[in-house]
Amino acid sequence: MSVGGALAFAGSAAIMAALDGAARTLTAAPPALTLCAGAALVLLSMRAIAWRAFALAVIAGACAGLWLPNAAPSGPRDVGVRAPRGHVAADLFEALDMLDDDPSAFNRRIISVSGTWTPANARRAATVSRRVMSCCAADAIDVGFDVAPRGGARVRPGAWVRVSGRLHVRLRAGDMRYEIDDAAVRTAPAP
Amino acid sequence: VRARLALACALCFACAKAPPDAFTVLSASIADWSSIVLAALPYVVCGAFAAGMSRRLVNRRWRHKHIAVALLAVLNPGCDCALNGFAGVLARARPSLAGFALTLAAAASPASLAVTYAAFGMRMTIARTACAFIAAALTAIAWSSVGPTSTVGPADDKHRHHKNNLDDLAAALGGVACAGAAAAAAKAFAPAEALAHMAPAAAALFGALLSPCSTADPLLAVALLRDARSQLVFMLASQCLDVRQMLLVFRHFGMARMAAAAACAAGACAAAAIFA
Repeated sequence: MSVGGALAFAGSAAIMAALDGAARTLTAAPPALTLCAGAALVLLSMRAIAWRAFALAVIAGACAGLWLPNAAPSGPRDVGVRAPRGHVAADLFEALDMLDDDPSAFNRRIISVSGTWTPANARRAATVSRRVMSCCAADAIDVGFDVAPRGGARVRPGAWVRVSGRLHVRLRAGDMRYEIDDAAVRTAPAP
Repeated sequence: VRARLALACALCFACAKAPPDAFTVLSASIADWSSIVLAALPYVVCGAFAAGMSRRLVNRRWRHKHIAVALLAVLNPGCDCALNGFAGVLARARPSLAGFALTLAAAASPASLAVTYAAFGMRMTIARTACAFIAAALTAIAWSSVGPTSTVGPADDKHRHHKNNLDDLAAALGGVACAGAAAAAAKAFAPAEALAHMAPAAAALFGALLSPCSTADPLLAVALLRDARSQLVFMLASQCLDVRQMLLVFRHFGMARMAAAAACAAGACAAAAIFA
């Protein structure tokens, strides 16, 4: 593929990704920014190649952009316990901030937080977490709490849930973890 | 024909014998790669426009034009993806100035320092700035004594100017795409449990492969790593020693200067690991 063709492909894919919502899911930048960058690439490449090659590259790019929402970012893998500063207002982040200042802040108290549900597997506990994306999905991080659900939670992975229970501070492999014990897990409407 | 047949057989075999999670991992890797390219796109395009404008500045008879471009690169408010645009112009400046500006702009841009301060506080921000200066100074010294730079010819006519811009854009996007592929692979195969207590050298290697955006590396460091030295080394290597930066330097300055920049960045990382 020629330089102009590659740019037309990339520009067209970016425009489609901005229009079909993929850019909003995959990047932290406003989709309008991606749209403008894509449009600039298409306009620049228009002058560099023949019309037929240009049209083919644009159509192929549009197909790639339309397919992008099907590529799902990975679920939470390593859920951290420190919320980055300057986060949005959310119960989960505020609870983590309070615990960061004073790990005994919720001693013997019931805590209730909302976030994305990830069931337990052989290597780690179930978690309720929120994703913080500063640039793109590749460098997004997940922060939240380990959860020991009361009587097993029947919630699909990735669902938005509200978790209520008693908070305990535990050490796991040398790391401090916050675990919500005997937790009630209910699905909740996503914000 | 044989190679295509072998590839088709390999693909069929991979599809038939794929592990249960393979398609989820593949889909996540494609999403990660696309997100890197999409997130970088506006900065790369802005960088290319900035490069076009700085080329005009360079073509004028002004004594301090290269210093102005270097300052613009270091103080650019965007992320390090914009450096793709400035590198072409800096290739015509003195090698020491180009090396200093490119390394410092990658490792200690205003946006990255602001996010480092938000994530870690003042001490780590000062440490990052100091280590970035060390890496930049070492690179400047090394580049002034390493091989001739591969200069881009002057853009003297309109068609050539347009072609230069397109080539710059395509090369920059190609570099981002390659670095994105390395990052998606590193993320897919690196075990999350091993990251927390990673040694500084391993953190440097992981950062270099992952090549995160300069505004994202502090958040990744604070979330994934526990040891302060590993966090600092990860942030430095993510910007000075990463696949994206190395490809950029290779495209504009050649193999010898890329190797020199990598060695200097590794030296700064080692200093960070020892003295931080």
